[in-house]
Amino acid sequence: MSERPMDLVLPVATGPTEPSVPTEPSTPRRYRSARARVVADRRAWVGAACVVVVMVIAFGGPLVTTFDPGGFVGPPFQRASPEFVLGLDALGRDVFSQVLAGGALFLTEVVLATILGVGLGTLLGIALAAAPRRVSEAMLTVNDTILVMPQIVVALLVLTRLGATPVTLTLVIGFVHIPQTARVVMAATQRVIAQDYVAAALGLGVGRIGLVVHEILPNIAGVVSLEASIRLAISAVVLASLSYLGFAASGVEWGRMIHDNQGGLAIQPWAVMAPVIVLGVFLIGANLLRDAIARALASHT
Amino acid sequence: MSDPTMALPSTRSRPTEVRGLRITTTTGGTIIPALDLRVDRGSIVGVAGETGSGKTTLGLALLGWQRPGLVRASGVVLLDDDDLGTLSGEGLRRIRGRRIAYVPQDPGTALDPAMRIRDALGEVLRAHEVTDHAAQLARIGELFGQVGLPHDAAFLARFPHQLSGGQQQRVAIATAFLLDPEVVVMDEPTTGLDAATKAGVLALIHDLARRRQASVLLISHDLRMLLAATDRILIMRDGVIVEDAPSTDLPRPGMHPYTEQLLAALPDPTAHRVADHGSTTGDGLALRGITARHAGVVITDAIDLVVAQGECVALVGESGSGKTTLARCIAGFHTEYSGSVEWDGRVLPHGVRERALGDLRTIQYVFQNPYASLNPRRTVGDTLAMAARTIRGVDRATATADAGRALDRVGMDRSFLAAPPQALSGGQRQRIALARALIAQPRLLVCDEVTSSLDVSVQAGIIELLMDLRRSEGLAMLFITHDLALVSSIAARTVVLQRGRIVEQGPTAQVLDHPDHPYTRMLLSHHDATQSRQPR
Repeated sequence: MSERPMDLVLPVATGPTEPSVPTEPSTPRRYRSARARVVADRRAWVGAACVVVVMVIAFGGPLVTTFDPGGFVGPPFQRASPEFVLGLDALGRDVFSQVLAGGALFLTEVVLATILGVGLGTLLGIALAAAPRRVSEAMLTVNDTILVMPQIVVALLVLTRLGATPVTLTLVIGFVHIPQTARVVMAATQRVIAQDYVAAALGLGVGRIGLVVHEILPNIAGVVSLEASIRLAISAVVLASLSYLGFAASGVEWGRMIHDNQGGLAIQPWAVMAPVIVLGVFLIGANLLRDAIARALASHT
Repeated sequence: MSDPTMALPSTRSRPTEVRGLRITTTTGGTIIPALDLRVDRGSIVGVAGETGSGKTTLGLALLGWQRPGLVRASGVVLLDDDDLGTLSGEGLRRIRGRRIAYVPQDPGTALDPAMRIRDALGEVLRAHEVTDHAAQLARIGELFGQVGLPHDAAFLARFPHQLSGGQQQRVAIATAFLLDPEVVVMDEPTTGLDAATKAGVLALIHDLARRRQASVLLISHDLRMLLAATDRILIMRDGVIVEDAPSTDLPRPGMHPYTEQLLAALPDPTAHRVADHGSTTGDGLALRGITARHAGVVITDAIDLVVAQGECVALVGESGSGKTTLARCIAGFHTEYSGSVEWDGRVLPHGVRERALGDLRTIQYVFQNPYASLNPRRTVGDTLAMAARTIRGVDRATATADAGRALDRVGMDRSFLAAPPQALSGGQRQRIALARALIAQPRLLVCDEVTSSLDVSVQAGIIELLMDLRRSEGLAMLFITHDLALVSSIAARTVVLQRGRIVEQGPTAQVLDHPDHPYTRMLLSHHDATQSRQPR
């Protein structure tokens, strides 16, 4: 035990005119946002490229088809030849032209269903998080009840009643996304609402809408975009599954090609493999994007 | 050496050494340029420095570990003859826990929430070949006895969330000493603990280091605590040890200018500098019989409190005393209370949503944690401009101009307007949070532990700023803190809160020098205990 004259000799902090402490830089330091992390991630670019390539095929393809995708041009399951690069399908139609023509409607349905489902799910999720507890608990019970029903079964049930048209398919797939998305968004919103900056906004008199638009939405945008990329892939899988089960809108479409041509898999594999590969590239792309977003969000905190 | 279960190895007398340690980032940046360090057995070495000075990196290097993104470019970490840097996998695993132990900063996240206490500690023992269940329990019981924790079966069967913060910290410390390690690295083991628990934990560390002849590296930004609790102090800055001195020698002539600066920035508890009561005209804030509840549990019990206009009142108490809840009632963030919050004799509605804009302008709140109080998705300029637009209803151009002026007032460069909060340090963030509150042109500022998450030198700047603002704007202030050292430099009047009741209030000098209530005396004595040397 030695003398501790500390309290006596220590000079007292004085005015701000004193040279300030060196650890406070006078200008902002560099900072990388989550978005910048995604952009810098090479795997995100590969994923985006996959998705874009498939989109170009789907939406540009119908313009460059060499044969009428619905027309009969030869015997069923004719193998690939210089004229028909991917051979012919079960009805003797050109597979290459079908791949080019069969994506526009498919992807439109997938994208619209995703936007619909994630959009409404996000609104519901925010409402669940912001509502008074009694209300949100009641809503949550309904939500979770729907959540436990298998998506594909619900979809099949509705489609059997209403019939499969592009509109019903989009609506059904979109709606089955809502409960899941709402759950995820609710959790994210609850985390944001607990932050002091939301209280600070309240203390400044920011209203409900301002709170959602300026405080909540920007801070759950990462989670919502992650959810959207997951839902995009699921939409494609569900739609392809429904087509495969026979619930496809009439006309040429990737999911339906897999269903119609499976009988000839041994003779003319391309009639099945071509749409499978295109769908596969799309799904892998969507998943790579999702992973990149998830990584950026994880390292962002 | 009162440990019959484990014989001390003969190597106990040999110091742990770090030679020429150089740690860089994977992208080539330097964290620690070149560092040599010797830690003797049985001594406690404090490592101080601001956030980002490399003190945690150094601590982890002693465990043979670099965080992802960092690499050890050169140098050796010697524990006897083993170089931890060349060991890998199994070799390191045998050393960690048994010969080198680590107490991480946040005990709440350091303990596996799904594991009962006895299982968590048992796992450590089992990993180092203490497999006999009875022997494990005996060992755990012995350690828990030393750290002042109960060790009956019921306590050991608890999960971490069933323990208080102080108990969790004690469990983490007991875990570190479980296998009688030669080196213990502790990263901010007392941050977040209140004064009483902190004094207990420090005494414990001291005792264990002596009794077990362990080298303890105590990392903290709390220089005052280190001066009191360690044998030797290293002060780090930008990865370099700028000061290495016995802690009894500090402050000393010829010390490094940075050390001088850090010491100068320590708030001085003996300086009763606030004599002016400000212009205490008018009524200001009055709380009448505030009984606040959380889910039905009473947090504050019939609190009456007045803050006159232009007056600065300090609200002091340990964690859990209800200070923050009271403050949140005042600002309207906590609505579950009876009694009334009045401004100039007018009762304010409970909820912040029900209050008129004018009432919101009158009372502004500055939050404890500047890392949570700024929206990370908005630039500083947007945050400030938006505050001006909503609460003062000014147009966009005026709001932008106001944002710039607000930055000037808190002493920050206007280049920060375009920066997101992530590009700011903790102190800078707190200045922005302050600027946002000031934009409302409030009459009362409620400051909730606004300095407790900041480095000590940054703290001094914020306090200085608050005092300037109070003088220049005639602001009334309710300054909530658990740090008694700050009270004397800012508040004219001090109110002491214990378990939701006001136990003492009066002029700050009187409360600090002649405390009436035993609780105030206890707070002061614990405060002193972390300032003066622990008994040997």
